[in-house]
Amino acid sequence: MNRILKLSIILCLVAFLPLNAQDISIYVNSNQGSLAGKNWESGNRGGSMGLNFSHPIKHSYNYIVGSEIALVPWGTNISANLGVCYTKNINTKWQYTVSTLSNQGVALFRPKSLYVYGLSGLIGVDYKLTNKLSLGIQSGLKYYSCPSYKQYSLISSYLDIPIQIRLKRILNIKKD
Amino acid sequence: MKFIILILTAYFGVSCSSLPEGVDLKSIQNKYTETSDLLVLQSKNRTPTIGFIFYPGAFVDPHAYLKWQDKLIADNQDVKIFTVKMPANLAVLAAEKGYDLLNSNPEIKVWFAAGHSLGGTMAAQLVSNHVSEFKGLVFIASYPANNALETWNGAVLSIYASKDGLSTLDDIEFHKKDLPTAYVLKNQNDFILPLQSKTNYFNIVGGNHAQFGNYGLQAKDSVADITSENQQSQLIQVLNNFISLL
Repeated sequence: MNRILKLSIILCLVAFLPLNAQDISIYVNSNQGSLAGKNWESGNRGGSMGLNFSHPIKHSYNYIVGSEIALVPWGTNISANLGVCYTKNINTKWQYTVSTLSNQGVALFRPKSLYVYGLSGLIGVDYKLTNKLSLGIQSGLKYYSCPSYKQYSLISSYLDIPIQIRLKRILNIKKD
Repeated sequence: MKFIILILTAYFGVSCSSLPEGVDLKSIQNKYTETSDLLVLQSKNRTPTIGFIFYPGAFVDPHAYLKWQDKLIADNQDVKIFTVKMPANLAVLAAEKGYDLLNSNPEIKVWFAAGHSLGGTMAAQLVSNHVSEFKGLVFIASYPANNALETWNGAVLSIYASKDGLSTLDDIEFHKKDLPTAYVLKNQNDFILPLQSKTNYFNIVGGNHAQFGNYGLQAKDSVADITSENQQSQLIQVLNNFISLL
């Protein structure tokens, strides 16, 4: 594992993001179905867990920064998340979200880790449990690829359908 | 259950898996297919009837075994090898994953399970959960975690190496009590029939742990006195003899 990269991701998140964040969410993804190479495969195809911080940009838009550990067919990925989220209240308890995220990171291999990237689009709803805590579910599409893994395997990229459950904690009340 | 697996993966999964070395997919002679769950090798010319479910060692990329598996099928076209991709490359997280293959491959008449290192231990668990459906079990630098197969009437083969720094000779010796009656082979052809209710042990003199695959050096392993080609050639020979006699 490239320790410098791993450390850099962690330091960036720990030192900068919580200071600026409006909310923090932890999530668990389960990938149900996957396009592996040219073949569609149903059933559970691995998953991931992660931590995201978000902060308002303008109106209902937020930027998202975070990190993720993913269980994928070639092993384990660690990546940084960067994306944009649109949030709209349905009523006092419910809100819906549309988000797009890019992942940049590494697949954990020795003698050296391999670069991985991904792109996902998710849509979902959150239910407010208390003033500062909400529980949500999201789904959509996630593409990820490890270009250098092509020399070892016939399949080096996947298109998954993630089902995500997340717990969101509001850190600062939004003022816009 | 999936959440527990994810949490275990988060704990164990932040370990690097060994990439294959010197394995060229273009040089594979047999029919090779891959899904997100499996690597499948079989003859291009014949419909195989013997299924060989293989579990890779812990944190070893499953493609690291393709080189000797391809040669094994070139020598025995009745065999179809299913190498199972494990979550985080750790067979302990999904020991039952190979079981679905038994129902989805009706052309296979005889099933074996095999594994390298921790993969062998988990293959033993798979067999012990479905004893009547497997005819054979092969440990490669491995041994069982318990004595569930001590009275099993299937055929067991244990292939190990004298310079293995992880599954040592002492480990193999200690776990003989957990398997059917031990018989130590003097050479690759020294099997005594019937193979059932017996564990045949074959020592590859000078071999080590990592050379049962092609993934470079492994921490805590010893330096081998023989080449990986030599070690894998002996592995193929004893495996083929075992399979053909069953």
